[in-house]
Amino acid sequence: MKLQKRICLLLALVLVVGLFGFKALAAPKKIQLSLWSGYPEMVPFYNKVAEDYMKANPNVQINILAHPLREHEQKLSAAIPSNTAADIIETSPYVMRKFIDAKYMDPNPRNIEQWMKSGIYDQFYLDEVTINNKFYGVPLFQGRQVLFYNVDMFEEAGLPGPPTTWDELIEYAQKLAKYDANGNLVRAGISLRKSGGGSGVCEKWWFWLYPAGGSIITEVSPGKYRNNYNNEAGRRALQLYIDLLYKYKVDSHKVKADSEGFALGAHAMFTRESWVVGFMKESAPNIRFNAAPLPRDKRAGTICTLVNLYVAKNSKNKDEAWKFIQFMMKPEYQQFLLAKIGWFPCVNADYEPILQEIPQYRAFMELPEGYTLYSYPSLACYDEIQTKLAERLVKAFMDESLVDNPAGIAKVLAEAAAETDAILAENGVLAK
Amino acid sequence: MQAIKLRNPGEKRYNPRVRTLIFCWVSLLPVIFLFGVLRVYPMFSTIRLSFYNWNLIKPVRPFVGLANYVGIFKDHLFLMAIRNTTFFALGTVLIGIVLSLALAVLLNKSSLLSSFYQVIYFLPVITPMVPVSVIFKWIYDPGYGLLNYFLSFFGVQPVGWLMYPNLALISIIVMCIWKNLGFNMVMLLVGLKNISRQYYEAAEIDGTNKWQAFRYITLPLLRPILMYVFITSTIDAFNIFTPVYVMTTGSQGAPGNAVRTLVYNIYEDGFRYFKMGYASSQAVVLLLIVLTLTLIQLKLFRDEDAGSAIQ
Amino acid sequence: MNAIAKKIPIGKIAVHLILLLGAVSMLLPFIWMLATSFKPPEEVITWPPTFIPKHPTIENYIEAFQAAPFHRFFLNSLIVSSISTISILLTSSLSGFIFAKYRFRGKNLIFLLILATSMVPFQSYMIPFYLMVNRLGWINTYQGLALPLLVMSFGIFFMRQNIITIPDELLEAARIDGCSDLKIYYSIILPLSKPALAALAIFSFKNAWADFIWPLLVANDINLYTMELGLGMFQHRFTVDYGSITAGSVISILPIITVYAIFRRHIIEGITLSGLKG
Repeated sequence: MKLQKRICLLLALVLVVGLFGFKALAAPKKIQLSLWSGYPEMVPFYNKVAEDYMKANPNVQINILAHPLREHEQKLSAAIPSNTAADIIETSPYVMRKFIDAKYMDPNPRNIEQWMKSGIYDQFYLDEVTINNKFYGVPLFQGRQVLFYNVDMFEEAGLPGPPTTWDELIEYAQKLAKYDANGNLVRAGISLRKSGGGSGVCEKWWFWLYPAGGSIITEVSPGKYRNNYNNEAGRRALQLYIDLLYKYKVDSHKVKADSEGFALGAHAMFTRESWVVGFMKESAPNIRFNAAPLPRDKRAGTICTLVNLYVAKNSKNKDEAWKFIQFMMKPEYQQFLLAKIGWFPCVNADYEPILQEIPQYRAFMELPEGYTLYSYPSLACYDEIQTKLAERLVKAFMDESLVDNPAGIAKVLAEAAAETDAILAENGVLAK
Repeated sequence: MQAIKLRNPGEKRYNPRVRTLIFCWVSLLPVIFLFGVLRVYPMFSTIRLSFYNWNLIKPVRPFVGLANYVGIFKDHLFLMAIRNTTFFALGTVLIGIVLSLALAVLLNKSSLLSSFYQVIYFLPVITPMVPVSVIFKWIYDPGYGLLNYFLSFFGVQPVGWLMYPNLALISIIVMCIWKNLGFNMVMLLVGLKNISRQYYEAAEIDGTNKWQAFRYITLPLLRPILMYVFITSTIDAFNIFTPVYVMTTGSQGAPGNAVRTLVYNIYEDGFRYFKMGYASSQAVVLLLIVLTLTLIQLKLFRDEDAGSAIQ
Repeated sequence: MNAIAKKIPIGKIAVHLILLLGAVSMLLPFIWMLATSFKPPEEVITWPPTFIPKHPTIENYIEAFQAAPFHRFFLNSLIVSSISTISILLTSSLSGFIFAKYRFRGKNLIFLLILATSMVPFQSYMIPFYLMVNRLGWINTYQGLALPLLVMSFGIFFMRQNIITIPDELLEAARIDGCSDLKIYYSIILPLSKPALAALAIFSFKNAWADFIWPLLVANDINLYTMELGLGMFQHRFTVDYGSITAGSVISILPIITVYAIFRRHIIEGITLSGLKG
């Protein structure tokens, strides 16, 4: 029994120590700055900048914390309303918009606004961060969608270069696809985003919807929106997926998709952002690939999603935080960002040496004639719209009966559009 | 009863019944306090939220009465989630318990390697979900997965396990059964070991066959443990979240709707769309469903042996 | 029993065959995980897959330890899981005893209420809980991490189901000898429920170890990361580098398997030895 008593006592002691003893563990004597990122691959970049900054400012301690996007956004949704967020938050304007609308975020201070206007940013970026004539956040990097293609596979199929139109895309994909003896697709001509939870499927479909002349939603009058895919453009874009999957059979749910599939040589083309370049260098250095603008249809363009840095309202060291952000925008770090991480910086700097070294990046920066950049609507409920539409698209992409079935395609889109408009109405932003 | 008569002469001042009562409440109080603070209070906040249009990031949160409840029963995603969750629970609870009971009976008989098997079958139980999901996503991978590789020996064409609506849910059910089989098995095995051999020996003399012995001796005597296993499995199954969450990530993850379970839907409404009030009303419905099922199970197993020793 | 087994050895072989088949399917994912973690990158994606690495390497483990402070994650998980386990063992055994062996007004109501709290998923009251922890100022602390894990209604239920099987005569005899209720608890109930406590220790330790969503919200400092959270983060930095991912997974599982190995004997052998028959 003595032993038991001793164990009990020990356990109770550990409990007490565990509950109250560890508060003293971190002794914050320095100025603490924390930064939360939704892109784990950015960590080496932040570490490098933070290291240099701490060297120059020994009284500052910077902590970087990175989570995958979904977890990062979840953390933000709990922390920002309860004032427990990091000093510096990295996220996209459309994610931050709802917090800005709810007054959980302050606009940038005057000196930062002037600094941003001093010519370091092109007007496009400044427009993107403007809400009610005020700047919110500082653009750090951007995601532009391009078409990546496997050069070896293209040469093998005798194709001169990347497809520039939808017709070429379909033709090339058929030449690139490979089948086994049973007729199963073993190498996809093009890999479309067809599955997975969240809004990704919808976003990727949008990149085909746009050239066809549509978009997920459009602003009809200031602050009022309506779906813009329950039309010819939407039907054309959905039909493209269905045709590629079931009519021409150049993609399938069973072939490894996305960047992983590209690295494994499971498909010849797919669309993604610039980070793929760094990813490929790391995981499949032997694969020769290049990037090209997304093929045009009735029009041409690509998305440009910004990822900004914001200083939280609850930050105790706002000035230091802004100073660190300014420090981060120095050209040397931005060049590092492009060269080593593969995300495209927003700040103007001399990137030419890097573009010469890594020619794939040119497709991101050098836009063809008549090519437009479009961006996420700054709307709090947009994520819900995309996520719910994505689920319907995932189901439609499974449905082989939609081949040569215009009525079926129209029905899918009409039902989805009703849902989209209902979400807009619920949030009071549906155009009459 | 006897204790009153034979009480210790040195402790006359208090009625032992009162002392026992004091003991009960004094020891229960910290537990009740912890549960109150850590479970009941936040749960009641949830119930309260369910009557408000409570958006995580909107400062104005009007009272809406039962509007959320009316809303969810018109919401096809919520109804889909109920359907999927029910299917999932039926699959995991019934198949899981039948399998683990069978295994427990087999293990109870083979004494030789019994503990060796127990160690192995229990391994998945103690393995956390993140590594399990990493490996299962790979096993289910259509192109590089181990499952399709094995099936290819039997001439089966590659299958996209996680991508097709019905298959996706079944794939997750299989994974969950794999993970929890050992837990239920060990629980039931403990119950089986506690059944005295004498019962079986007596039955053998009476000439009952094996099935009858199982039906009329094993099952009834296994009741308390069986009840525990049924109730915990049901509650766990209805609260399924992490496997769904991890299996839907990535470009070749399962489509959200195909495996949309109640907690996944609650999570999405609450954390992605910030509709906490709306999500809370779903949580309350979930509570009512599981509570009803648990009460039914408690009744079915009629737990009468509780609390008879000391009064 | 033995007589039957001797008559039909085929049946016994069949039983072992079934058990063995099941054991293989239980182990296969682990074997594959372990094998992959020792494979060089080229070999990871070769087709058909190999179960024994042709060119085994510990490179993946070195890389995993370089990329993430797994020793720190391990310490944090150990602290949080230990606090949780101790608290659950104490609260569950005491209240399980009371719910099993006493009768008083309100008992069943309290028991049902406690049981009912396990029916609501944590995700649905996570936000009120987060706000509460924030008011306590416990965001980004160990106590904040451990707080939701201090009690476990299943634990109480489990202990109650086990303590019910302890014969009432034993307790009555102790009473006659003049034992107080508290003394009965620690000199009869606790020793007799050792196997159950060992089992509960494993469950609660594993539960705390496997917690993912809550540490994600509460830990804002990589030095407070638990194993699961660290692994989740780690996983995304190596999207297709299965070698490193599996190495990280193996590292994260090892401690919990060790704990299991220590307590395993108690779960079943212990319960038969302790002589509490129904």
